[in-house]
Amino acid sequence: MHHNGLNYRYRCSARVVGAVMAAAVVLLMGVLQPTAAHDDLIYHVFVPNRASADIGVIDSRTDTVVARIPVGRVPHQVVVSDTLRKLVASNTEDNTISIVDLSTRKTLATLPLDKEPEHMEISPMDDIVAVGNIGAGSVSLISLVDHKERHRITGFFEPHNLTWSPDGSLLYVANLGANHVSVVNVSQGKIVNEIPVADPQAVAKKTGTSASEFQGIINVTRTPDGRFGFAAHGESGKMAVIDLRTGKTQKSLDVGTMPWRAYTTANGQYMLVPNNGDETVAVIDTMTQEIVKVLPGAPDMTGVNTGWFDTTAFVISRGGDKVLILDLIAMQKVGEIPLKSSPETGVITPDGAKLYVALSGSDRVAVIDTKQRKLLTMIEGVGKEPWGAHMVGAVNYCH
Amino acid sequence: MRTWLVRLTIVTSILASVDAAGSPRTAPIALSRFVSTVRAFTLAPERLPSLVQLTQHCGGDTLCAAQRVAGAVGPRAALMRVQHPDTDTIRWVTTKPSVVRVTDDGLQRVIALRQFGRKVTQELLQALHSGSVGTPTRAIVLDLRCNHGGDFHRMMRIAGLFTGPVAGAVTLAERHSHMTVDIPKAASRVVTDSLTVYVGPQTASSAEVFAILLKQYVGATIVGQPTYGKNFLVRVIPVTHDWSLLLPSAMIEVSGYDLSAGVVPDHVTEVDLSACE
Repeated sequence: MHHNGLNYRYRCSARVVGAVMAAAVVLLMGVLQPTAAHDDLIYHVFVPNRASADIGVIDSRTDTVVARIPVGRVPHQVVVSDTLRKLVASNTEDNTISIVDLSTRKTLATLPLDKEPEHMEISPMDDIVAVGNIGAGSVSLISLVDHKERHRITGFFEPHNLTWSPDGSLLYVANLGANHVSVVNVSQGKIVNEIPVADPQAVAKKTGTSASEFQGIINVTRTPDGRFGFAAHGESGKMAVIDLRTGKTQKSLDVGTMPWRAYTTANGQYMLVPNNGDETVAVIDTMTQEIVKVLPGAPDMTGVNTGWFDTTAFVISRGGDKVLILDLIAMQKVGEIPLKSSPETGVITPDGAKLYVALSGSDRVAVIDTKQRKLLTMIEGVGKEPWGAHMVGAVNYCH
Repeated sequence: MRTWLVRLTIVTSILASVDAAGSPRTAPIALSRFVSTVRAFTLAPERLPSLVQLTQHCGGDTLCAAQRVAGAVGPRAALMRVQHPDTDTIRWVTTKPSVVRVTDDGLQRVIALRQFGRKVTQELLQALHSGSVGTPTRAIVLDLRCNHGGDFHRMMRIAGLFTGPVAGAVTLAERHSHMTVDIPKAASRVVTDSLTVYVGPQTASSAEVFAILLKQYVGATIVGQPTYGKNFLVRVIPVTHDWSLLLPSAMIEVSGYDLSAGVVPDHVTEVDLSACE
């Protein structure tokens, strides 16, 4: 339904103009209060702002900020249940999450969780949010219907990104700082499997000296059909291809030095893996599960988005203050877009036409035309230290 | 050479056999995974308590099991408190520097390499090439006096910057087999007329191997004092959110050298260790 962009847009045009004008008036008054028409939700880009403790809301039709929703301190990520019309922000500094009604933009609940809730993912049925409490090594499962924490599951290392099985029965948890993926049975609220991804780190050092930094696993990236999960392991340079039906690793690929994580194209044809150690991007064909190309990368890559019918990949280089443009038809790098400063992560609109990139160092959001491969505009006033971007119906991720 | 997948299969098959054996099926999943990983990598499996014993004694407490394993393995095993990364460390914004000092008097460039961190390759290349774009550095001194070792594979990768790829450069003597480790091909190659490696009594383990490889394959001259002498590899096995187990898993062998005695320099000189404080 979200992809039915054009017709939907025309049908809503009168309402859209009205909403934009109303938003403009509100902005001029300096009072960013809120109401969002139900149909507007799919056009909104939600931006968590770590330093201003709020969520900026951008209307992607006008590329203007239409609201700033206050949440807790240091919101790391935002997720949205469009079915329930609720937004969830993880307030890492407060050890809480905020649940916000998107119709009124009022906070419905602020739930205390474990230490440092960061990454979140909403279940396929849109009714449960899984939250990784990275500072405590636990995962919370919260009902978005009654706002109750149903389970708090311990036994993780540093739970980073979370991935649901297509039917919502299982949750795959990437363990930063470890070498395995944990599998949670959601109804039981407990870990039922641990999938080894790589050997433990090999170290030769003087006894008693501090350990070197260790990455482990950032994410399990699911193919859109839910059949396979791709889990990169930083130190080993391995990419494990996990059969998510059996929980077994069926293949291991050498993808490069210090791979960050895999990012799927929207159509599931490729997985793109930025390797921060050798500054390359490995492209994996998900059908053959082989690397088909290694393309040039850049320093400190923290995100990859694909757009314009999945023909183009935009690789966010935080360390290089730029976005690389990779043509996935020609399989080559075709350009760069400088983005000062500190591009973090981004989201591409569900129709694949525009990319929004949060720039934490300049308190702006960059908007890129994915067809023209050009910077369209910079959106000011979104909030302080914008950290990411989220849209309903899009391929969302967090770093 | 045993591949990673073979090793993974071993861990998985141990897990499967634990299930098949029946009684440990009741062992908590984390404990089963921990014990199977330890068994796959330890040099002394005969000393280890069984999963059943650990389950009976510790229940689901993996830290308790790790303490018993460490005690059984002996003094070379150790529990280490995890230093949790902050979000800037995770995103590579901040990282512990590997190259801590670069000086250049016009004749030689001295690079102090303190550890083999995540960005060691980039830092080393930058130190080698900064200020001399397009021209090869004439003489390089790698100062390893304060390098206590660290990630073994990162060390091998930067060795490749100087040596190029070398098959079977190092042997890891494990419980049942000897695994040769290659110096991998690096993206670029360092060209220099003269390479000197500066070592001392705090130069240890991976750093000692690094010094030997540079001497063996590019004719580096080693100067300073005899090194620490640590010749075994440990695996860092996550135990709980806050603890990891350092488990000895292999002896490191470089042909023609006894690493346990340390590296004896070609030229013995005074070594100032004040910079290491």
